[in-house]
Amino acid sequence: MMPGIEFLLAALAPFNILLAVAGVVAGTVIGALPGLTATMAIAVLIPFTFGMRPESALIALGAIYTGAIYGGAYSAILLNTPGTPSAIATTFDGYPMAKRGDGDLAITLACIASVTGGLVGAMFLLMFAPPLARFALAFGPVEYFWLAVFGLTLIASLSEGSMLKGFVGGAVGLLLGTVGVAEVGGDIRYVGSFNELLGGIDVVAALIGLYCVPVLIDLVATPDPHLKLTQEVKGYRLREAASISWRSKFNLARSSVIGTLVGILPGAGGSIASLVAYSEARRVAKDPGRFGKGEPDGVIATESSNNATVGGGFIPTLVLGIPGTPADAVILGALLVQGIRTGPTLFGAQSQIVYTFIYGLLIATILMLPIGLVIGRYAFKSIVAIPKATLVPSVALLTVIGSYAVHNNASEVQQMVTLGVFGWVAGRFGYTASPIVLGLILGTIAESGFVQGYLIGNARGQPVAEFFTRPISLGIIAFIALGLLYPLFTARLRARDNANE
Amino acid sequence: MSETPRRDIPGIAGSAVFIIVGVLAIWGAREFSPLGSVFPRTMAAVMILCAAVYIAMALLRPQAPAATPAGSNWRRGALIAVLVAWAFLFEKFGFLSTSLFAYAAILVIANYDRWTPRLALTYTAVGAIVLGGLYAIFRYALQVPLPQGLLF
Repeated sequence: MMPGIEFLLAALAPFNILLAVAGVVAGTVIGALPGLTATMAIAVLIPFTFGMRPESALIALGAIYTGAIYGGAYSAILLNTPGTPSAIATTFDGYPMAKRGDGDLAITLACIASVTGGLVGAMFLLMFAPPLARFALAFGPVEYFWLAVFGLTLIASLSEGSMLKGFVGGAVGLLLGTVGVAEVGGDIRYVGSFNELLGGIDVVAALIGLYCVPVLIDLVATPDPHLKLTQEVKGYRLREAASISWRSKFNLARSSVIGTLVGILPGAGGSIASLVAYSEARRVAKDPGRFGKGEPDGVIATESSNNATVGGGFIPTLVLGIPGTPADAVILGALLVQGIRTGPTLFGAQSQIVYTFIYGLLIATILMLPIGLVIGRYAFKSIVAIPKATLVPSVALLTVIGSYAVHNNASEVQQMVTLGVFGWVAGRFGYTASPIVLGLILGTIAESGFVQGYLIGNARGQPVAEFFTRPISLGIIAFIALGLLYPLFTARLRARDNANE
Repeated sequence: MSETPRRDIPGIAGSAVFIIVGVLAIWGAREFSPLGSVFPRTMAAVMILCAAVYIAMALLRPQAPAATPAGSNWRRGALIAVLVAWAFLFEKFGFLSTSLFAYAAILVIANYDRWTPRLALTYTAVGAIVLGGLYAIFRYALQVPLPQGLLF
C-alpha cells in the first residue's frame, strides 16, 4: 500500500521545494566540475543541513546527490572528462555525439534519461523499502556481520584487477573503525597519547578527507584539465530527444532497473551501475558496432542507470543502515549527526521523516528536468570558466569549515587532513579510498555483529555454527561467494574471447 | 602502444607497509580484553594475509602498475603543508586569520596564469566574497562557534 498523502503534502511545503531546487542546482553545478564527485558534493554541503529538520535535510542531500550524478554528464559529453566517476561510461558515446555536432542533443537525452532513472529508483524506494524493512527485522547480529562483509567484498570484487588491494583497504578501514572506546566491552584501543581519539575517528571528517583532499592535491599539480568547450550548445532539441527516448523505452526501463538493483547492493555505486547497464544495452542491441561511436542508446543506458542508483542506494541505507553507494555512506554520517538511527524501526517510529523524504526525492527528480535543461543550455560555459586558482582554495575552505562544523571540534579537522593525505599516499600505491571508507563505515556494524554473534554462539557451545547455519546468513554468504567469483568468471570469459579472436 | 608488463613496485611497497601496520595492530591488541581484541586481531590478520598474497602475486605475475600521475610535486607538497598547518593552527590563531592566509597561499599554489594587477585584484575579490560569505553563513546563520584564537 502506498504511504499516505499527508507525507506528499509535507514534501510539497515551500521550504522543502526550495531545498529541492537549490539542492539540484548545487549538485548539478558541482557534479559538472571534473574531479568533484557526487560524494564530495554531499560531503562539503552537509554542514548546511545540520540546522534543518531531518526530513528537510534529507531532501536537500537527496537533491544534491541526484543533481550531482546528472551534472557529471555535462563534462563527460562536452569535454570527454567525466564530471563524476558514475559518468565514465557516458563519455563512450556522449563525446562522439558532441564531436559530430550533437552535444546539445546528448545533454537533453542525458537529462531525460537521468530523470527517468531517478524516478524508477525513487519509486522502488517508495514501494519496496517497507517490505524490505520487515524482512530486515529478521536479521540478527550474525546477519548484520555477513551483510557488512558483503558490502566490503562487493567493493573489492568489483574492482577486478586489484581485488586484494580492495580487501587490504577494507581491512584498513575496519581497523580505523576500532580506534577509540570499543562499543562492546569498553576497551580503549589504539589511542596512544592522543586523547582526542577516545571518541573514535569521526566518519564525516574521514569521508571529507579521504574523498576531497586527494582530489585537491592532484588538481594543483597540473594546469590541466583545460575546461574548454569543444562544442557550442545550440538549443534544447527536446522533441528530438523525447522521440529517441520513446524509441528506446525498453533500454530506458532496463537500465533504470539495473541501476536500482546495483544501487541496492551495498558498496556498488553509479559507476558500476552505468557500466553494467551500458554493457547490457550493447549486448542486446541490433547493431552493437554503433556503440562507442555516438550511439544515443549508450548515453540513455548510462545516464538512466546511474541516477537510478540514488533511490536504489537509499533502500539499504535507510532500511539496514548499510550504505548502498559511497555517497550514501556520507549521508549516513549526516543522519547520525541528526540523531537518526537508521534501521528497520525507522519506517515505523519515524515514518514521517522517511516518507516525506522519499516524496521529496521524487519531486527533486522531476524538478531536475527543467533545471537540468536550463543549466545545460545557459550555465555550462560559466561553470567551466571558474579558474582552478579560485576553485581549489574555495573547496579546501569548505572541507576545513565542513569537518569543523560537525561537532565544533578542531581535532576532527586534523583527522580530516591527516586521513586525506593518507588517502592520497595510499592512492599512489594503488589503494583507492572507497574500500577504506566502506571499512570505516561498516566497521562498527561488522564488529558488534561479530562479537555478539560470537558470544551467542559461545553460550550455545557452537560459535562457528552460529555464523554458518542460519538460513539468511547462508543466503548472504552465497551472494558474497557470487560477488567474489563473478569477476574471476568474467575475466576467464574475456580471456577466452580474446583467444578466439 | 601497449605498456610492457612490469612489477607493480608501488603496490608491493604499499602492501609491505600495510603488513607492518597489521603486525603493529596485532601487537597493540595484546593489552585489550579478549572481547575487545578479537575483531582488530582478525582484521589485522586478514590485512596481512591479503597484502602478503598481493606481494607474492605481483612478484610472480608482473602486470602494468597504475600510472603515476604527472604534474608538479612541489605544488602538491606545498598544498599538503598549507592544509596541515591550517588544520593544526586555526584553533590557536583564529579561524578567519588562518583561513585568510591559507586561502591566499593555496590560490598562489594553484595558479598557473601570469600574475597581473587585474588578475590579482579579481582573485582577491573572489577570495574575499567566498571566505567572507562562508564565514558569515557558518558563524551567524548556522551559529557555528568558529574559533577566534590569538588573532581573529
